[in-house]
Amino acid sequence: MTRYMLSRSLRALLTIFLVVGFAFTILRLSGDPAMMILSADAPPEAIAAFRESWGLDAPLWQQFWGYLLNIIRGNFGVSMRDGSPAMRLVLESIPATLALALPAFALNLLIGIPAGIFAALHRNSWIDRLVMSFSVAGHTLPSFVLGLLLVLIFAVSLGWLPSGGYRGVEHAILPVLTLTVGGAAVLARYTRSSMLEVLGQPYIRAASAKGLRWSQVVIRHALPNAALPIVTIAGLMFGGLIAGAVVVESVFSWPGVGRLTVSAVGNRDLAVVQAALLLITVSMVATNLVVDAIYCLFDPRLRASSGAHH
Amino acid sequence: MISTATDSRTLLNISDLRVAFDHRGYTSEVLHGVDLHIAPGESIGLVGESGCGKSVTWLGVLGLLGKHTQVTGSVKFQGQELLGLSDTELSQIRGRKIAMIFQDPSSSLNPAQRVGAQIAESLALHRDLRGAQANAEVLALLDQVEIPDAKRRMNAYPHELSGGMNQRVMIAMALAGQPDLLIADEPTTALDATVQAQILLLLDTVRRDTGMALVTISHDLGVISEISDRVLVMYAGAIVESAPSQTLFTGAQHPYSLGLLAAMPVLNAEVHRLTTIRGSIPQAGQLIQGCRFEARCDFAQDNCRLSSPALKTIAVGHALACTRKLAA
Amino acid sequence: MTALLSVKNLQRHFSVEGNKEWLSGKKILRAVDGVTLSVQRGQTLGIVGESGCGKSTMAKLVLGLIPATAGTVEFDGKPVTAQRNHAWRAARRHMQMVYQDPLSALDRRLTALEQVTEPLQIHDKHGEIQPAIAAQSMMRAVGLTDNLFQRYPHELSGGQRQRVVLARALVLKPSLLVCDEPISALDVSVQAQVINLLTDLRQQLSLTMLFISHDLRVVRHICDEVAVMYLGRIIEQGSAKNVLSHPAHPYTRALISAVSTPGAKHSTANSARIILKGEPPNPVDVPTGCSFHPRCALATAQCKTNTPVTTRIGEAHTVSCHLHTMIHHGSGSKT
Repeated sequence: MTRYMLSRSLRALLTIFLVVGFAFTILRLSGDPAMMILSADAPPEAIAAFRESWGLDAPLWQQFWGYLLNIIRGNFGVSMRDGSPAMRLVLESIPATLALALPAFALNLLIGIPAGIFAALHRNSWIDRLVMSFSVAGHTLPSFVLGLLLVLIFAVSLGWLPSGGYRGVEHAILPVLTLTVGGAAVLARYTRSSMLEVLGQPYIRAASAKGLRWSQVVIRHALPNAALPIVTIAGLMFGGLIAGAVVVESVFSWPGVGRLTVSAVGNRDLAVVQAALLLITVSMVATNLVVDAIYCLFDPRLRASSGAHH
Repeated sequence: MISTATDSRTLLNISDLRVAFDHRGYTSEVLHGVDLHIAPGESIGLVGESGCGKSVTWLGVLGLLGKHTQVTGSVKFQGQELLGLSDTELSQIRGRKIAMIFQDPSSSLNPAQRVGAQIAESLALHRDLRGAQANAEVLALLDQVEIPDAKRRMNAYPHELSGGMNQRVMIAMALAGQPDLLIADEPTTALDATVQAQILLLLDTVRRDTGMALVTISHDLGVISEISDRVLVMYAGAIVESAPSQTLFTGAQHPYSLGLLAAMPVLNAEVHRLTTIRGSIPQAGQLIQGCRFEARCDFAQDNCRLSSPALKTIAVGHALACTRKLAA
Repeated sequence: MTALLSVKNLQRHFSVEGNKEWLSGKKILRAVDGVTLSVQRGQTLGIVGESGCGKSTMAKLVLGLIPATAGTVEFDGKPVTAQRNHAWRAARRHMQMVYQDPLSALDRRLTALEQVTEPLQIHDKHGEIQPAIAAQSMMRAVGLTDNLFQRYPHELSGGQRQRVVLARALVLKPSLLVCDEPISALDVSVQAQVINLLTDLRQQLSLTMLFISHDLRVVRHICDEVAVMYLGRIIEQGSAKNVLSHPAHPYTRALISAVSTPGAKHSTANSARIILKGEPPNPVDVPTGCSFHPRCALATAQCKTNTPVTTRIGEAHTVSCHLHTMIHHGSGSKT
């Protein structure tokens, strides 16, 4: 198990490195920050001076190397707009993102998993079809469409809830709801297929043959075996919630990490973008590692040696 | 119908058991009226090829066939009618009175649970044994099924044990409930030849020691003859012949039984061309008016197409579903 | 006359992960551990053994599907390698394989006729006979009726599928046919049909066959010679009649004794039944000396330390067992 986690961790580091490098390169190749920040008709000398002061005239690899060295020292750069430390800006926006992500995650679990289990236990019945229809709908509807729809209905037409902003609990309801619908739909679908796969296994019938009532078979033998893939998906979803709230935060003007990243990209505010990306990548990778560890801990087959017995 | 003794000596009496599957509006009958009886402590074998219904019969008896099936007829176990019982009532019978072990032992055990715990679950369920008492009994059972190093092995997961070991664990689990009848569905098919011999010997020993009845289901006539006193041959959803072991192998009467026996290569005979049964097994739900074997039968007569012959006793303990005149 | 297939000191080892402890190092799984055999043209050699003995690995080695760790395989005088180059692909038309599970050996998306025609299209596009016609005639020869030609694998029965696999293997008229448990997945009556079919085809096409099976009864029926494998080595070899009627090695005797014969007395009454202790072992942990000694009722001290040599005990019969080395050669031993 230790060896397994070690190799996973090394791979995680490599992933972070690749993502950061990729973002670094793309940002510098896709538009000139100097032009964005100073405006297009600034005099060329001003632009050149700006570029030199930010080190943008050096070759790419040299910039990247310098960036890596700075990171090791804890220096993540400053915003080109107002000079404040990039990482601090990012960290300040995390609580807002979490205020959406955590409730949404909890609701995903509370709605999605039971729905999926229920659908699996009543396969091909009308309950199953109903749950699955909702699941498909929730899954395919893009989050911004859903968000805008909800705003249209609840904020504009009915006036019950505000359409955006960050002032109170009622401002969080619509964004959380938007995030929940998509997540619960996905979770329900995966839960259902994981349960169905387990229910089709020979040991389920053998457990019934032992004399266990169906409820006992489901709880003691089916759920524990179906749980692992569900844990994996749920864990990955959590990582995604942190990163993917981008769209929802933009629609609802929610000052989280996502919205910060989007505006920083638009402004070519390089350091902020990179800091945000680094944070998002690390959190996703860390979530994956935790999920891997849980899987390893709970699946006896992964813990034992391979090739011992057939 | 065979004249059955409905006295208290009969452990299990199945009468005209029919099973039909519903699939999207279509009902296809796969079991066409099975009759059989088992005396306490008896060992019978059910032999047949794929699709003949030998497993479906017992899954139907135990109510394990799932929702979209219709099971009709009569199944009397120790005088009690089993068909029509609710799932909760049947779960009192399963494991405690009638136990079943399955073909692939390694996938019939919960992969995420230690084998000792799985046996202990049966003990808690049927004999209300828990904790240290249960552990002691688990060890005793593992010894009974001849698993070496039982103390260590009871904490193993199924994938850490071989197929033969897992089958022993399944037998131990079945014995935990102290059943009166054990159904072994292809217990050795997935195992190596030398292990097969061990498991068959074990099943026989256990049966004699506990006095329980044993039903062995197999497609292998050799396995059946090893372990069963009486053999029932099934074809396409019905029993076509039933006889004591020795009688079947020396004096079988049904053309299908004869065909099966002739189709088996034998180790110590001179190599000869195997006699085969022409044609193939009818589709599961196919409606056939006459004898279901008629299309493949070398002895078929005109009346064979008109009605399906019932299982009739032709000699002591020997029943046959065929209109063929017996060889003189 | 040179043998069609000649295998010398063939070895195939796999390295597997060590046990639970971290960095406990890799272990070696000796799937095939020094096998020497040869098959003459037109003969059928059976390889029998239980799981873990290496017989399926032998099949793949002989066909060049996996590379050997040591030793040589020669087919028709030329060495067989596992490199997927032009020569390897060209060699496919001379050696073919029939598998245990016909359903997974067939492409679900092709009809039966298309499956059998495909090899011809690959190797023999411009042959004298049209590929489709040749394929059809082969399919009829294996007993498939015309109405089955356009069916897909899932629309065929087990026996029919295996016939399609056979037709596909034989349509190029290979010299060597390797069968890996070809009938285990079939019903008894269908097994008989396929056994008869193989026997007929063998004569008609002058096939040389390598027949791998765990079922001794079938091997007796089909094979001229038989080799018994245990933990990657051949422990007894000879003509099928000799080996199976007068088995020399204790393991072979146990295998034969384990065969259930209908009508034989019950096992509990049959005291001649040999029940081996323990389980077929893991090829990762090969015992020292004679690899069978932990389960052998007749093992002596020598069996634990020395590997037995191959002794000839009859005209077409060799065995690797210390008991026979002593019987035949007194205190000395020679090959």
